[in-house]
Amino acid sequence: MDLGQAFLDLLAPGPLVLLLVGTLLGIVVGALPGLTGGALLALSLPFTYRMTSVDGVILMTSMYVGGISGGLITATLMRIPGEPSAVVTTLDGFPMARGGRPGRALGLGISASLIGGALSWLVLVLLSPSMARLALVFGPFENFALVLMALVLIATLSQGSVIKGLLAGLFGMLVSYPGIDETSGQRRLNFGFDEMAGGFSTLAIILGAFAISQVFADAMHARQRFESLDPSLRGIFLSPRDYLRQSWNILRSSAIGVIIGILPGVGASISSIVAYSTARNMSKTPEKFGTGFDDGIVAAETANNANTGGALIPMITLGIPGSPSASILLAALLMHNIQPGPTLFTNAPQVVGALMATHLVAHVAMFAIMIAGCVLIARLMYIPRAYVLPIVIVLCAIGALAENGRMFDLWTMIAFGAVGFLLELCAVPLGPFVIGLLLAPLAEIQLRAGLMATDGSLWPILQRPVACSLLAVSAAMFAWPLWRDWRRSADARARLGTQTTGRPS
Amino acid sequence: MKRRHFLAATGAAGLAAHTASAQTYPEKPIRIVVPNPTGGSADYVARFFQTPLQRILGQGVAIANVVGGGTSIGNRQVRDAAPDGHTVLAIHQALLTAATLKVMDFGPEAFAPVAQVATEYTAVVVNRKAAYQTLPAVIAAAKAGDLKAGVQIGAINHFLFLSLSDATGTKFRYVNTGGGGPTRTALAGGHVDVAFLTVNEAKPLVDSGDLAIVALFAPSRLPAWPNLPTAREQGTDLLLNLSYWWWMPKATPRDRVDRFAEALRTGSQEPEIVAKFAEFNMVPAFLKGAELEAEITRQYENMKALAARNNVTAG
Amino acid sequence: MTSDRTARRDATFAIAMIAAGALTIWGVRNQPRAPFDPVGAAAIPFWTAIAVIALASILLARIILGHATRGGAVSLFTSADAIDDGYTVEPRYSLAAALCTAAFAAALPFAGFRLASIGFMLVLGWLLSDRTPRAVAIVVAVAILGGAGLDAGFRALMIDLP
Repeated sequence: MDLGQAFLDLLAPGPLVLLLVGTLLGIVVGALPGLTGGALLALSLPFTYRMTSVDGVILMTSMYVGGISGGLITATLMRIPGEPSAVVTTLDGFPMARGGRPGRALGLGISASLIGGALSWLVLVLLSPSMARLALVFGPFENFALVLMALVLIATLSQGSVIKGLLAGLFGMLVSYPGIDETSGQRRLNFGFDEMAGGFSTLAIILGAFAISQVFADAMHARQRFESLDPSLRGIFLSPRDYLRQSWNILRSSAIGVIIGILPGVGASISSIVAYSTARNMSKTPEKFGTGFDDGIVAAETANNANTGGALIPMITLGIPGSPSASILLAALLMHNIQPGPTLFTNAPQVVGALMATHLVAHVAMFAIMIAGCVLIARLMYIPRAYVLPIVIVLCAIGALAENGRMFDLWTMIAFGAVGFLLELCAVPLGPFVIGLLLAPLAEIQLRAGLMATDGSLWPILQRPVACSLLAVSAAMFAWPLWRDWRRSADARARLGTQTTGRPS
Repeated sequence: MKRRHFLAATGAAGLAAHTASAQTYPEKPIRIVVPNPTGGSADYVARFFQTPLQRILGQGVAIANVVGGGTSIGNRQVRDAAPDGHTVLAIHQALLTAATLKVMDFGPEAFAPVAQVATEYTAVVVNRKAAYQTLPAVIAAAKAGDLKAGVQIGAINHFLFLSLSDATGTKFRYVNTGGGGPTRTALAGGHVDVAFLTVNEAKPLVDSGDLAIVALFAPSRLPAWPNLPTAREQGTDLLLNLSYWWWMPKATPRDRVDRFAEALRTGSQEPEIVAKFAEFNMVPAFLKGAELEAEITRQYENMKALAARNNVTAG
Repeated sequence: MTSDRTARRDATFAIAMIAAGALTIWGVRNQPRAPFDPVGAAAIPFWTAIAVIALASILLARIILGHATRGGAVSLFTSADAIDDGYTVEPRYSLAAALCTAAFAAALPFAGFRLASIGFMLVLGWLLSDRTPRAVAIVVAVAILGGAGLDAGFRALMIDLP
């Protein structure tokens, strides 16, 4: 495989136009609440049959890259994650944009996406064969331990009351249980309703809890006019000093993104959750997270783009897709009679070359398109709500219906819009809710598969080095922020105590 | 939606009108529901036929992956669709297994079977590093201790194991690793010991030196894999295959079902599809009408007996 | 927000969580044993529900004992309040938006996607706008172009819309 040649081929007018179209479509669909990049890939699948395999790969890879990046736009400007993987971006992106620096918030996210993607590309090109073996090391217990680690991070993410954050996470888990129990094939918790046999659609719940509840809340500010707080959009481009300050964060978050991307059992949203929480735990100023802090946006957006490179690694070397989107890409290749796996490099070198070259060039194109579009995009914030909110709801309805064509999903979305609104009203954080919702099914399936292998004994989990060390890390990550917060508040009380001795309050 | 309500309102009159206009079928784009995610073998077969069907029927053909509830959501959607031949279900035996396990409260009797287009024989696959590399060795190992079999509980790959253990008197310990893709990953990582996969699913990890195919449960060797022995050659006379079936809602007029079945027959003879089948190691095996119904009934009865003997019914 | 009001909301939340936990436990009470699975389909929902009830009870106890809880740092409400510039928050518009959305969903199977979405965008847009002629004109344009455009676009992609 000649990568240099692949880049040259990609820069010919035909492929380049395809790449730009794919990236742009990906960004737009990624940004639209309701439609995900995965849905776009599935929709475009039939169109790729009529193309050559190389063109198909260029189109789909660029859509994949664009889709995962576009999610940050609406997450930052409207607090509506365009993609589930951008949920964590809302935590710091939105407060910063609302605080009057939308340009800076978008700029941070866009640059972090580019760098995370580029670093993962390096791993994809240089280390694919050796890194891909990682996908095989992780069995049920290892996957369970990893998901558990992400779950306990809920405690880290809950700003304010830890107990309410944990409750929100557990509530998310409860909501995920109805439907078919994937492990036994039994129906459970359908309360006698036929429609409930499939449970609640995860996408519909996320759309409801984040997008619809946000629209309901925004409606009460509909008459408020925003002044353009920062019309020049200063700060879109980061200074060298920014890069320097974030370098460790970027490297760490990219590594997390790539590794989680390689693992087939867990999705892209987990990488941004883990990267964000790790950044917060290791920060000297964890209290700044969630208030519009640079490091939070950078960690989340680096990780979810780094995930793309990671997910492609086991796909091209072993034929194992590392993410749902990568599995659609795999389907496209198979329909062209190209079987990914170790023989791909010899059988279809031009396809591997096109895939790798597109992954990098699409990231550059994504950066250029989003930076150029920034001025237009950021205006979104200042358009009167009366024009935007109705169309957001209609888009979400399409997203909920497009998934499975079921009215039940639409009603689920609306109901969880109300639930999300009420949770916000009670100052219960939504982040942990969604994390519980996304992770509980994975954790349960992996744990029960592991227990089936050991005939119900949990003991072997401690004999497996990877699983055991992940469990130890989870325990530490659970305890550390609690202890640190407790120390801080104890300190604060002590200081408050000494201050107030002279002046009774 | 609108269509369904319209039909409910006009009732029998609507149906009569449809039958009268049967020669104009299809009047509008056809929706093929695949109750599995993109990238499974049931999905591939439906997608092979997408373009040829558009050409033969002169209407758009859309494929919708309606996923969830172990195929029951997609199945239910087709069962409840307007019986006018514009909604088709493409699925293999998963429809029977889901009904056998009572995951769904309806089974094949709730549909009009259209056609079978192909079958795909399955194979027992093990890790290359395992001590057992032939079918007798696998069976002996399973008898000696418990071999962990990677399956999706209640799905077709689970029933394949039940058939094998029924025929050979062995027992396996089942681990819920999921469908073909994740199961083969678990097998390559040594997390389970044995799995049923299609040759196509196993291929990339066979190429990488991680997996070895032990026996193909087919009547004869595959042209593309002349060195792969069948189970019959190794002393276990058992044929285990996936049957790719197409279904329509129960009340769909007979002539419409037949028109679509004929389109599938014409399509499956086109060089493009013949080539695809060969590439995917599938065997063209067209069936429709009474023959098809007999085949479905035979498999369904077998499956129910198997489930009863092994005490597998979910609630 | 007074701390009294916070406490009332927290208590409501805790009670709702206890109810959700109880509903789950009630829902899995008759789950049959799974033939191949030592854990079974009921166990994990059951223990999650127990954890929910335990935590919610602690939260409730703390409120009754008079411990204050801290609110979420980022909330739709607090972040909006932060740049309050003298206008009044109008919760009735939230209710209106919710009702319109429900009406939209209810009308979909009968009116079809195009008609329902145009109607919905007209009504909600009009309600939320300041109803100056210019705003109304934009709302009408957005509704008709948006509704018809989205409908045509997604049908072209063969997404099954009612």
